[in-house]
Amino acid sequence: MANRKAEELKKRKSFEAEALPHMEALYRTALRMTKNENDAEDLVQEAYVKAYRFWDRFEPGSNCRAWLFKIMTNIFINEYRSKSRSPLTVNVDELDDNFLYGQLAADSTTENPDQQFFAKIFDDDVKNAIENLPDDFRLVVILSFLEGFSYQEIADIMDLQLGTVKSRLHRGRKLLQKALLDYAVKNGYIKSSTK
Amino acid sequence: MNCQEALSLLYAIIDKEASEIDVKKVQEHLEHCQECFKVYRIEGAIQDFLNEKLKANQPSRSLNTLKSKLLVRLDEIDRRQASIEGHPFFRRTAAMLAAAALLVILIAAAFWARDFYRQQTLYIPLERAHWAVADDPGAFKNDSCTFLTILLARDKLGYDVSPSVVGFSLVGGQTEEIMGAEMAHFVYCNDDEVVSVFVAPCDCFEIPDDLKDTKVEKHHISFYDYNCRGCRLVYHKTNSAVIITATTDQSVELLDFIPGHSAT
Repeated sequence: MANRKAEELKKRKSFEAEALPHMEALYRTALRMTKNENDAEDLVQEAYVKAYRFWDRFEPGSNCRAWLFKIMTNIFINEYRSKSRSPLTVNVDELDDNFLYGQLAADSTTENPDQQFFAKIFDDDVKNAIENLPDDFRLVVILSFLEGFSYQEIADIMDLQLGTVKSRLHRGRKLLQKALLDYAVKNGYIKSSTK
Repeated sequence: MNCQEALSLLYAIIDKEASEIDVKKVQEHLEHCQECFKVYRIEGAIQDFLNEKLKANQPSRSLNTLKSKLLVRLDEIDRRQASIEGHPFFRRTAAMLAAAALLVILIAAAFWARDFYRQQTLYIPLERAHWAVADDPGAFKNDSCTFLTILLARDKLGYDVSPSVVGFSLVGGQTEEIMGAEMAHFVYCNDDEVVSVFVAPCDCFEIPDDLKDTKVEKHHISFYDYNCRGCRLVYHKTNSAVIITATTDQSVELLDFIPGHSAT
């Protein structure tokens, strides 16, 4: 009995020491996944509760952050992801690589065209661009851009093939660039040469 | 390395997935290629910009609230775990339930074992004995053996068997040991039906409890009527013996089949 209590206490302590410090990162990502604070809080909490229940299965010394992200991503995919998937309105494959660069380089007469461009894109534009990405691309983009996970780590977290991660990231990146360019063009910050 | 190769590695390098050798080769290329350098610079800037913007827009609410809420839930989980497994009340109740369940199982097993034992020791041997002769009653036809059996029934068990009963006539008899007791086993036949009659010592067995509600009164005699797997057994007692009539022919009315009377 006393043994058991001590064991429980030890479990709780190691969980708090190893898992809780990642809360900020989890919440940051949850916010980008769910797109609102209430859902993000619920998602993080659910992920932690589940992680605590399965804490025995976590191998000490392995990557706790990636493990927590895997749990959270799973919950998100199974329970939060919007039922109707937003269809791809843009055929990504038609977009050239580096096309945003092409736009920026072609448009401006100043020395640093990119600086001007960035100055005119608002935080909300980026937020919208990310949030409008289809879920499959969005998750990969968030895990890579926001959390800096490697391709292999993302593949493990989302249970995907390495090649699928790469191609989704590539397509997500192109969609994101396209969206940002559209914002800039729509608001008259730059002229589009492809329009 | 040419421009095409350098640009194909662009995102791998931005995502820090390229090998050291590739990074070095690209760096060398960029040192003398203005065009590619520009692509790398702007793409790098776009990436930095996105990363930065993604990290901005941080939540208005404090993480501390979320953290304390979570800790409360973890406490709940710990408590629930402890209360389920460790609470003395739970443990006492669980032990009592387990003991009660065990007791019920034991009692049920005892009942079952008693029934099983009775079936094995009481009904089945008699049924078997009858089945053994039903096909070939003529095998019982041994006059000296029959004579000795009639004497046994009269002298030791106090029962006189009749040579004919309601249209059946005695074919023969022999002594058999069933359930550890010596019994007289007589066989009666008419044209196509066979009845076995067992005369057993009175102290050989009691009328079983589960036969008590099959009690039928006829001819001022109490019969116990047992039917199982196509063999019907009817018991009745005299002062000194238990008489069991058995048949597989369901058309025979065993309640009218009184094979004899107490010896005087």
